[in-house]
Amino acid sequence: MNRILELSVLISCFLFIGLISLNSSLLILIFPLLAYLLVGLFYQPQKIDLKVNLTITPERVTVNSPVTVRLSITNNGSHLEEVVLEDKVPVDLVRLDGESSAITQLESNSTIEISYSVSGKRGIYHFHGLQAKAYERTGLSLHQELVKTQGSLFILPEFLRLKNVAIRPRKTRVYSGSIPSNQGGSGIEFHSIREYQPGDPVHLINWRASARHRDTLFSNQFQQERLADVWLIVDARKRSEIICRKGSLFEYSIIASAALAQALLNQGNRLGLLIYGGFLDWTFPGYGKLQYERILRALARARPGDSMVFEKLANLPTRMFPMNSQLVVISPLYHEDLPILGSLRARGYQVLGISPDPIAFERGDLDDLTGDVGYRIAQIERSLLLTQLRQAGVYTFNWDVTVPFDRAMALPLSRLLPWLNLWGVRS
Amino acid sequence: MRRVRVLSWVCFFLAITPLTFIYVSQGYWELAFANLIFIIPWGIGFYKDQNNLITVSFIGFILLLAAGAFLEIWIGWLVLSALFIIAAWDLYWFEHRLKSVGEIRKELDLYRSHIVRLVIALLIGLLLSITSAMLKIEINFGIALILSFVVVLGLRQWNLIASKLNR
Repeated sequence: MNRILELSVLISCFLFIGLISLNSSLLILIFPLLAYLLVGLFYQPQKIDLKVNLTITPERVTVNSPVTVRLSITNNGSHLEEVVLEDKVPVDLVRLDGESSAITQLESNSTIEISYSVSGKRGIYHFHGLQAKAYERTGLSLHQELVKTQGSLFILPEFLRLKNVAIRPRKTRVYSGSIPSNQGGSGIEFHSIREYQPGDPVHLINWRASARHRDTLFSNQFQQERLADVWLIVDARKRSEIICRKGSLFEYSIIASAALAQALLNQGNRLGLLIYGGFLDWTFPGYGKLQYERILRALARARPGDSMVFEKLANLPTRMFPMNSQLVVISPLYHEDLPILGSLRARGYQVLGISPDPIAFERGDLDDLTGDVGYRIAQIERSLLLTQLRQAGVYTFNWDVTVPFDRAMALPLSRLLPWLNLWGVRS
Repeated sequence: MRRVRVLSWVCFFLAITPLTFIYVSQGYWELAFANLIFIIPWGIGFYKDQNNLITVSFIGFILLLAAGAFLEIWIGWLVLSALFIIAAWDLYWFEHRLKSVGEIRKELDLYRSHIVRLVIALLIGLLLSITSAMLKIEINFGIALILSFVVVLGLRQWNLIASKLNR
């Protein structure tokens, strides 16, 4: 109950009963209450006019790194007798040091500083404003205002360095890059021979082939290395979020995505990102460091979501992916996903799967061997699923998340998969 | 903050003890007992930060003062008790505000200015009470009825002011 209302009700009741009963003592008792109330109302606080300068250093950090938030508050209005200043710290951030709220008196044109440090999980955190409550000294009257501030903190996913990811999409772009294309030209690896054309350097002449034909010279052609269109598809369906004591399996998908994005962009590819969960979160394709930053920000805000439409991978919007491009699917994978990934392969996409192992992940929570038989059955089912995917042409890497992604995947991903060579690559 | 808490308790006991003795001395055992009973919700409210318990104790204590007014207890004691219970109530809320924030800046200044404002309010209350105790005005039932209507209308107006201030 409001304190002014409490006093008002008491005063009014005493006055009413005092007048009805003509009891002077009761009427006299009103005055201490009335004086207190009137003093409280007389000195009521003026309008709050604060200028807040918010500094977050650094604004872009990795998980659990400390960040210092500093607010410099200047009172441009009248003297505030008693003011409570409280910075609204986003819920998921943990305060490590300092205080985010303070009570003080603030003279006109004076400045105070509030400083504290926070850390938190992956995500984008917005600091919306400072809540200022100006009280009259007795605390009866209150004037409160939200002083807006602008500041965001990006807690980016942990990113591990992968040196190279060997991919071979069926179609490459015209720009030179690191992916061998099925077209002769300048390069390193031998591709084919063709008839000598004026202007060909002498060292390119294949003397052995030329010797077999009279009056005709042949030149060597090398495999051209080009760039490719690559799409990272992160499975953010609610069912892919398996939570154990170690955390969430989805976080490992994000770590893998960040590492792959860095490696693929470093190779010069044109990379896009689709987070497939409660909704479709697109990061349209691009090159270079700026694109890497965009992808990291998209991964920072990625949350597992539930949607009836996107419950299965069947609604993957394939029209958005360029024909015959490379798709990298990061998902724990389920049996229902098998035909959909197979159909992508049939449409000409090269599909590479990175699958954080949910069985091994959950196994970590079991202390004894009571679940050993169940674990083995689950592992067999999973091996079967991965084998079926490979048979469908979707090469999938099973990642035991107890081993860091860079250590577990650096070697297998850097080798060109033998089956990829079976496919004719055309530019 | 500690000194605010101590002062609040001192004011509370100064409000409750003399009045309890007076009720006992005049044979109103029930009122004296009720007076002491309010220590329990006040104490719990104070240490557990239960504002509702404090409100209940405060209103209950003020109603006991009103009962004393009907039993013709000397008005001087009643007014003093009312002043001290208001002080205790005010200091509870002051401490509550201090506790609710992480950091207190210029604590001594805040404390001093608060006490000065509180003393001013209480002194005005005391002066008005003394003045009104010395004045004698004859009013008949008709005037009392009109004043009562004014009170009802006034109450509504207070509500409007209160809601506006806290918006």
